[in-house]
Amino acid sequence: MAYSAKVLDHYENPRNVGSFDKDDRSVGTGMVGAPSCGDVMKLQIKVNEEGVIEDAKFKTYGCGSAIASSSLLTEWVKGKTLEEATRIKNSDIAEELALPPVKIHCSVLAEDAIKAAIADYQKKAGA
Amino acid sequence: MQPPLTKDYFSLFGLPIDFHIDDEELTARYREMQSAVHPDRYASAAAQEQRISLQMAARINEAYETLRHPMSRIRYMLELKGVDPRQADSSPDPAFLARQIEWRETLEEIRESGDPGHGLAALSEEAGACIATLLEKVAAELKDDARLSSALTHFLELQYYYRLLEEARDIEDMLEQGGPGRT
Repeated sequence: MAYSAKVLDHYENPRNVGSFDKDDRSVGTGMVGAPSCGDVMKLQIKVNEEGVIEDAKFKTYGCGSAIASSSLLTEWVKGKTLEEATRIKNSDIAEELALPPVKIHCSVLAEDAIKAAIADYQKKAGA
Repeated sequence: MQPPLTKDYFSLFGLPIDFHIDDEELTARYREMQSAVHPDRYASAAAQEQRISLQMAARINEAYETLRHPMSRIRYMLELKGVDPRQADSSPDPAFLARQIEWRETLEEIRESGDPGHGLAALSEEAGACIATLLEKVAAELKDDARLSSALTHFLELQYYYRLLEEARDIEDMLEQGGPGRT
């Protein structure tokens, strides 16, 4: 299957690959997996005191579309408030990357990952 | 000739519905049945019989392919119990995922180092052992309707382990062929 130019761009030059210390209180970590293909994704956000996402990093072990979805998402969430970040939909990612129907689940994985990261951060902040 | 199209795949081969099957027995039954319904045998038969023999041959092939591999066998056994693994979209627990990610990170380091001595064999062995343990769990759970949800959870976990093992084998092949730097 041919990947779109945007998927290839993110796949060949992924943005924000890496990790933060998951025990840092300002860091939220979201880990998700796609049981149908065994892809795994870790997405982390670093949140400042104003509740704005200052930085984001990811590690995705999966297909090009899964890597591109998480790479794009880390770019998008930077500078957004947590509330704004929760409003990002998988369909926005799929549209931007022109994902074919069989790869939509990769964008769903990315949306689940950011939601999980935000939930993790909020749980830590509330604790 | 009666087309046993409604039978489950195990009964089709005269086997009990059980995860543990004798591979040789399965293959022997498959070959017997396949030759019994082979379309060549029905070359001069009525159109109706020819059609049925074709249908049966296709079904026998499908059944054999499904039962031959442990994962498709489990998937089929879950489906027989009315559980559709494709409907399960839940992520496994964070500790499990964290471990999977760690393993994938280790594999990445091995690939980048170009040196399989960095524990590739140990990792494959460990993943293989986890797969064997999980397969045994699923085999037992599939016999007990009260434990079907555990069977499904373990089936989903197995998909990650098989993916991991596949990745490890790819790296092994790549390194055997001379590493990433050479072509």
